[in-house]
Amino acid sequence: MKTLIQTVSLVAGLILAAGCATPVPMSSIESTAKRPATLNAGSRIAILPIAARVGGQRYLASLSAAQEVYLERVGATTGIKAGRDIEKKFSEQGNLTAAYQAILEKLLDRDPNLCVAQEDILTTLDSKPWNGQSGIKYEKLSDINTLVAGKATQRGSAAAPAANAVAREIRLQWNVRTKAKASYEPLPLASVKELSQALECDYVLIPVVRDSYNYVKQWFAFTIIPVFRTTGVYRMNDMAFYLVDGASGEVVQALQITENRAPQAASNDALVMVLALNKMIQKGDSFGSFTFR
Amino acid sequence: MKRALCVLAVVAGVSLSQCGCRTTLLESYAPPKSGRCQSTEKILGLPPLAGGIQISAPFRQNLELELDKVLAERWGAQYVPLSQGKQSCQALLAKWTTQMSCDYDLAARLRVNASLCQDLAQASGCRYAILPTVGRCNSDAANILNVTYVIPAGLVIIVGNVPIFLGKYQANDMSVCTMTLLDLKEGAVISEAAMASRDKMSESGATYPGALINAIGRSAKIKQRKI
Repeated sequence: MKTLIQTVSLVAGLILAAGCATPVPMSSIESTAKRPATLNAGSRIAILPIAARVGGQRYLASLSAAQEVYLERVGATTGIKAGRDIEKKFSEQGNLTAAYQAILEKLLDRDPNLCVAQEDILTTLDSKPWNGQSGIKYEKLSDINTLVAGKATQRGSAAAPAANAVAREIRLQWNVRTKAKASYEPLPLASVKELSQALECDYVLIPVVRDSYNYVKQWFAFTIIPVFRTTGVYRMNDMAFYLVDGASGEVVQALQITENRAPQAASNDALVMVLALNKMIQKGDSFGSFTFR
Repeated sequence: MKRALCVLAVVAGVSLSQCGCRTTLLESYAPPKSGRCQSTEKILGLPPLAGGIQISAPFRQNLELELDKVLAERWGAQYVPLSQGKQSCQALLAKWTTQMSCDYDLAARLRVNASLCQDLAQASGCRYAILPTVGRCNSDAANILNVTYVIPAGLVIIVGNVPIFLGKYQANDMSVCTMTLLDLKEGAVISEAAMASRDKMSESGATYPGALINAIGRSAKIKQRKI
């Protein structure tokens, strides 16, 4: 009887543990050295269409939808332009595509500035929930994937609804490395100016999804079952964001986020996109206040 | 001792290696019979797009020939070969290649170029189009620590595995090919298949469309096979 009770309580404990908040482990590297302190004060920012090499194209529908959700949450009066407004401009002015392409040539592939170095400053997100004044509004975050799945469906997208794979109760585990040294060459100035003038913005934010396919071979060796090996192909969520000054063509802030869970990495794409935009743009407290220590 | 046995965690080894020639189908392809594409409507073959790599003229030519051959076998009279499309709407296809060569969200590009899509649909008489792409992606290798736990709980033994991501490092670039089924009338992506290979793209191009087309209709989400 005692053993039975112990077993039942153990199983119940495991079920309860599995049903509790699911952490989203993320790590990011950023370079903020050139970000002006005055950027928040009424700056107009245009979020350009997400860029990816051909292999990553099929993941972009849900990420584009995530941008729309972000805009809905932060409000349209914050000086941010994105989505269909931007696409309309691109459609009306054919030269913008060429200008954007010229910029992407410099940014689309691996960024050596965003590699981990020993001198980087490591901070961790204070993940406490919103208390009315500070903290994170988890209830706002937990609905994002559902909203994104709805938008992707509206568009007739073939992308798998993200909501199926995501727990509604989430917690964040976010480590941020801030680069002590990073030097970006100015982007093609004529192209940046052309875009910023056409889109009537002070800064352009360029989201890049790097087609990073991981071939992982793992050795399993444990005491009961003999050694065996498995192979998997995983996509790591490498999303990079570049905030570019429309007047000088300089990258004023760069952020690259990796979701640290190889096999399940794709499950929180939309959430990561929204968090990244929130960190880069820093307007309003729709999702709470994010403090890194 | 008994209690200690109750929660017994066994840490597995960590290792990672990469070798061999392997082509990996990363996503399944939805064939026209899936209902999202009407079987009565015609499908136009579009010229291949390159992303991040230069493709030579002979390679492009081989690719186009192979595509026409394999897609015609697959869809019969429903498929309008690229060679035929080049005759009937040469100027529009040239415009397509110019305007669609950039690298960003394909769905966004289609919306931006909605009028071009509709012109192509009108000129070719095809509602749908198949767009092949060749390009590259970064192949990263990851170090994963697998912690395997064994919990004897009475008659039940719970065995599980927790992969812990330790970090990743740069490996070689990979070739990646995609095939996308487009709705020209709506300017939308219907479905897409991608195939990544650790081999450099063969200039003959002979295996590319064949291998991808052979995958049509297979339901595997992530499936690996050697070629």
